[in-house]
Amino acid sequence: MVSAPFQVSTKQDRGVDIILFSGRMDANSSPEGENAIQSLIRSGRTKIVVNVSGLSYISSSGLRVLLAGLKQVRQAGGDLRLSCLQPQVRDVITMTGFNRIFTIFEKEDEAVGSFSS
Amino acid sequence: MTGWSHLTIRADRRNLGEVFGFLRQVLGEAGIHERLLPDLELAVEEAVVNIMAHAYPGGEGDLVLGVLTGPDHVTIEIRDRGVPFNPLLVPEPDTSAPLWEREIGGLGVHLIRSLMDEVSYEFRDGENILTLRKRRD
Repeated sequence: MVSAPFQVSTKQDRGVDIILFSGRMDANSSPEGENAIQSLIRSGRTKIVVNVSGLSYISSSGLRVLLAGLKQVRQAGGDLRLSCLQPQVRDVITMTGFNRIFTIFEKEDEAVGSFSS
Repeated sequence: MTGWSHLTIRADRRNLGEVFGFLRQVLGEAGIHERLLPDLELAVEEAVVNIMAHAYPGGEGDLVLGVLTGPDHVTIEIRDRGVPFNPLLVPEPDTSAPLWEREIGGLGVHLIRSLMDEVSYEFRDGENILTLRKRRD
């Protein structure tokens, strides 16, 4: 099994910030994901979509990063929405009940569009 | 049935990659189906990261990862000589709590319990021994 390194990139669409996570988000790589989310929040950005289409693995350290980000943007009147969950990530999100607190979309486009509807 | 394979490393998070590498190698050589790997990797990560973070406060120590692949089960044993800590006593998190009541604590242990078929803990001869079992079918 190939273990792709964790990678982060960001872009904007219709005033929404999109963060793309790919690879493996484990205890070592999660701080990198945290930096990406936190730097947006520090810049006052509160409409965030995290597209995890390329994320093959997440552990509780990655969940911690997502949860912290969600709490901060909700407090600021925004939201952090997830899109494109792959099987392992979907399973972990469900197992921990995070599917009840995050708004989750199949496609990035739907997640971005949901902020203007 | 093959014997145990062991990895002894310093309980330092920088060694997490080595843990994954060892686990994949042993499970791959034993012909364990790839679909089981994510669950085993995640349970092991949660257990060893906990040891790396808390077992040796202010000091250093080792952890030993043992893997046994039997005909029906994969058994993983994780040992350390740090602070006695029974992860099975960590309260189950409320996975239906609203956002503001969510805490991240306990999620790792919850994942281990959810992903494995059996989890047991003992403290013996100065060692924390956490044993995880997963059916191969």
